[in-house]
Amino acid sequence: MVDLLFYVAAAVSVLCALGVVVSANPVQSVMMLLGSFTGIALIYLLAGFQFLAAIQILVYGGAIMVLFLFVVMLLNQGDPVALAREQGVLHKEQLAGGLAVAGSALAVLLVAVARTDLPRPIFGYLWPEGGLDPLLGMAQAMFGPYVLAFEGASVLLLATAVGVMTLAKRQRNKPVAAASTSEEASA
Amino acid sequence: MNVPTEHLLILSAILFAIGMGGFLLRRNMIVVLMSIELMLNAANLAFLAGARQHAALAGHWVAEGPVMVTFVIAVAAVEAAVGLALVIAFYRRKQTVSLDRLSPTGAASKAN
Amino acid sequence: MFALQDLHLQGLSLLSPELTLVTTALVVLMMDLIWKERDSWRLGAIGLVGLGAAALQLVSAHGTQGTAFGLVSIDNFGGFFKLFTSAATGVCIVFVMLDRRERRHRIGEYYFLLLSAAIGIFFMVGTYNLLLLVLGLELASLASYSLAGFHKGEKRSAEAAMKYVVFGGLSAGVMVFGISLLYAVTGTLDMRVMSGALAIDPVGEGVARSLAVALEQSPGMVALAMILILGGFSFKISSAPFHFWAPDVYEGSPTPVTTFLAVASKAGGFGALMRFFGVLFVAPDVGEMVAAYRNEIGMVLALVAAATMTLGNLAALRQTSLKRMLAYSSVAHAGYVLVGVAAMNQAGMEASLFYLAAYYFMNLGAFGFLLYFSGVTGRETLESLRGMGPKAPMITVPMVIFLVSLTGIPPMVGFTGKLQLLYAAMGPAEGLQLGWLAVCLGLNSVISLYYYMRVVRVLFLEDSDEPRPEPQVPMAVFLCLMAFLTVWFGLFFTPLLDLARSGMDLLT
Repeated sequence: MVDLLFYVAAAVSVLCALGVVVSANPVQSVMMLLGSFTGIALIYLLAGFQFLAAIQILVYGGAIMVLFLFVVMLLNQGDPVALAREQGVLHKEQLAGGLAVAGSALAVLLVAVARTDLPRPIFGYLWPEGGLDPLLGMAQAMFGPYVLAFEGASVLLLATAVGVMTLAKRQRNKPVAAASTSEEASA
Repeated sequence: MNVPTEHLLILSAILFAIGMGGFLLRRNMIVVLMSIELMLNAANLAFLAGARQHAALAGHWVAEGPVMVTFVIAVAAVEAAVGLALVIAFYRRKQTVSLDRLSPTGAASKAN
Repeated sequence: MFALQDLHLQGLSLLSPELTLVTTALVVLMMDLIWKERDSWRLGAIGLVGLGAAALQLVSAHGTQGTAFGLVSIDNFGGFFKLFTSAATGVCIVFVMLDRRERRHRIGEYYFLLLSAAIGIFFMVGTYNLLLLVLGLELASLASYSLAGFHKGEKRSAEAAMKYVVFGGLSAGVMVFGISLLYAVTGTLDMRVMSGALAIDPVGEGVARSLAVALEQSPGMVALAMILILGGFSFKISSAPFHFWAPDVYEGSPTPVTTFLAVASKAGGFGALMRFFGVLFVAPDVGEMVAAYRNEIGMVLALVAAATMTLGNLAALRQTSLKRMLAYSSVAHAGYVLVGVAAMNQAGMEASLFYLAAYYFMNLGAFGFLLYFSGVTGRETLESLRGMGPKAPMITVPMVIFLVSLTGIPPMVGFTGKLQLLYAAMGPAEGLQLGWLAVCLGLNSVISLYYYMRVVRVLFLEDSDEPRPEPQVPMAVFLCLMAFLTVWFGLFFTPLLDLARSGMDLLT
């Protein structure tokens, strides 16, 4: 029964992932991505990773998806004019090439996975009390052996915050714009 | 759930390939960034498949897989943040979010 | 149950260079807010002092062995890359201070992001743990994306950054997926545990299997993981098949950032790549199973090296922009350095380290020249250099030395480096035939001669009535210093060779 639920969740996440790629409307893509992530979160839950399932929903569904949706709305990507402009820009050769690369990647991946011979656990995939990512244990790992990586992640987040602010801030100093246009003229 | 690890890995491989296909086929930068998120999610699934496998063999939970996944989620979030900030900067300049990725950039190279 | 000593604080003193850099970056960010100056040389000076302090600590820690927090390994190999990274970052900061065009922007964030990228490279080259490697790689990449788009008002810069972030994201996805497959079959993220050099995982749970066992059980997965991880590195070092982003991004980024990407960031990628493949395959105590597999990896690397240098050089032939030409030349050089790695033995690794050191001198100089001329003339084409040779000899003569060295003509350091790479290709690991790669390296040097010498011809043998360029004393001093080092280490290469050799403590 639970196994069946896994296959349902897997099918949902694969179909939604396909939806992300083929939807012409970015708003639809975002919604499909949300569906795919939810399916994956369900799989985490079924596999015994309760904490990570929650994180998956919170961070992806709550933060990243909203970010994507916000940008799509900000740039008006869902409106008919923008949609019309984006359509018909893909060449046939490009389409064939992309499909060929992705298809062969999939084939290679599947062959490699199918040929693996992972040892089977004797008692099946049961998990101990508290799941496979117990909160206390995760905290002890994060602030014990991995504390340096944790601090490194804080540097990463700070650098990202500064970088994003410089990138998304509106340009106020006029001389730059003037100089760049003169540069283009000379080029 | 008693699904063998191989099935989880196959699922993650399919998601990875779909993400790669989206990356190669789409020119809308926002969708391309979403495809990258899909690929990172596929990697997370493979990490957890591995962690589950090793935990089942050892008889106790293992920290490395879940910890790595939390870090990859953080990386995915910052990647999306910077990517979307650049999309906004790019849109302000060019009024579009589609990039002809394989052609040379800029006015200078065209003049050459 | 949870005591303070569990935090493994005893390794903190080993991390003093990293801590110095983090502190410097934070101070720069804070002082930027306090001083509120648009064009502040004081911020640059703080950055330089911090980098200098980090470099001094690295020099005094030379020879120290140790592990901090079970994640960062303190060794000469990492020290080599960290030292050159801090030097290159310092040079980039000096470039920003000298470049009039950069000064129009808010400069505090610029320095902060450069320092953050340097911290990322420090983590990336100094760890055996794939988690920290990914984290460092991402820190370096994310800071670089923002830097590449720093002139967001300019179309080229915005487009370059966009391309960079898209391909960077792809490579991160590919690499992390490769690592996840490797984890699924080995159960560890530590390279030394995978190679069997360490019996107990310093941060893990004791469920690890070595790579040799994994190879027996699931060879397909291991092969796939190796290819995917190599793909991720390939982006960072701009080698084929992920090299095509490099020329566009290098051309569109501000020149100091291009310098950072082409020199510090690329060398950092090589540091991580060499540590990964070195520990897993080249170290003397790898098992028979892995040793047999090593030659296949070596062959793949050799093919990548040949493709990279050939594609880079052929494309460089056609360029009329000096910046784009240098970008392709740096792609070709990634191919040269890979020759040493492909040899899959200690001599090859040494040759690669030596060539990377030479690469720092030659390319920092060449990009400094580019920065000076694009600042003076506002253009980056070869045309604009016409007849400049005799008019600014203190700038152009060093450039000729860099170009000669990049080609690999004696007596420059580039020649010594290339000679070692040739030896490495002649005598690779047992059972590996790389003679053809040596021939390829030679042929490519001949091709590169043409486009490097074209710059010299334009500079000295053609004439124009362009006015004398305005001199810039600090840049001339810097270029002369780099040119001096290029010649000096070409003639007296023993110290540099010893440094490269001492970096081979990686493999013991």
